Amino acid sequence: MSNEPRHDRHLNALLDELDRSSLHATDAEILEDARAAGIDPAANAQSLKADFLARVRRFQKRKFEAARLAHARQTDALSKRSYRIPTSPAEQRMLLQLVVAQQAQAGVALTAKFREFDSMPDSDLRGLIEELEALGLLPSSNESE
Amino acid sequence: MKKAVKPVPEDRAATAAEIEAAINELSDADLYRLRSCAERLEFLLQEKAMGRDLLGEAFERLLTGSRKWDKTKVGLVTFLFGAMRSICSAWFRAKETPTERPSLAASVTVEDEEGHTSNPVDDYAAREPSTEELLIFRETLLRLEDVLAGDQEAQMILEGFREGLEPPGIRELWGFSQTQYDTIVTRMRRKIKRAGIVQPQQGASHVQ
Repeated sequence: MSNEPRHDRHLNALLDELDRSSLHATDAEILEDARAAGIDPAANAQSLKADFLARVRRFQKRKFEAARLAHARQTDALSKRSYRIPTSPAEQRMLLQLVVAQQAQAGVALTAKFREFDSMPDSDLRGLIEELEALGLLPSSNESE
Repeated sequence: MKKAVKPVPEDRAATAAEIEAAINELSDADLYRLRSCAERLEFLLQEKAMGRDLLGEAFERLLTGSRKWDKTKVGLVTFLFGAMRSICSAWFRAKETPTERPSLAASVTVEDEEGHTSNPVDDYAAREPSTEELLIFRETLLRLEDVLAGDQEAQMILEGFREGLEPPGIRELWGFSQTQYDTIVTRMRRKIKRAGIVQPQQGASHVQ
């Protein structure tokens, strides 16, 4: 480091004091300063406040838009991944049977809930298949067809 | 002495809604304080930006969370003063224009126990000033001496800063009470505001 005087530090120290002075001055003094500088404090306040609030709105809009896009992407990914679940209860039972057999073959024991689908009402079958889908246990479309 | 810095915890960083509420509570004087502070720093922006750009940037960084405000520690105006000073310093030392600088995001802002914040990205630019930069500071100080030429007490305070003294040291050196010192600094602030701290290369040594 050279021996040059640190004018940056001197100036920063002065700026610190000017900032402190501005922060500690009363509102009345500051308003008087503004008027002395030919500035209408109310107009300045209105303009700055409007600018800040517009920035807040834009930020919230951007944030909302980002969340909406993320949600849309997530939904899109889910729908692309979605398994074509058979519509008839008979086909749904066949699919469940296939999954249980495949898992048994792979040495994976499913919980009783999945094994005992025979006793389930038809209306519950779709939900059960969706759970298996979420677990990534459904066979590929080709396998099931 | 600067204390060890620590990040503002996420749960204490003001949300957009809290920032909006704080804006709505600012007085006309507060908003003039912000404008004045931004304009006071224009000389450091070297025509790369205006004071209002600096204030806008400080506010954007607050919103995006790249500078976090812990409202339990300092008021919004004080926070924005600090943010503007820090951003301005980084811009001054950056070679490119502010708009070309990458916007680096959240969670990098750190804060000391007094609520002073700093951003490591800005600190990257906080290297030792070059000779060219020191020259700009020196010319600015000379310009301020011109502005305050007729004010002996203000000159005494400037001399104290040139000697590298802190405010208490300056008061002690010249035997100023806190009140006297504050009065002189207020006078300096007003004179500087009236004259403006123009950019040295514009060569304005001549505002009365």
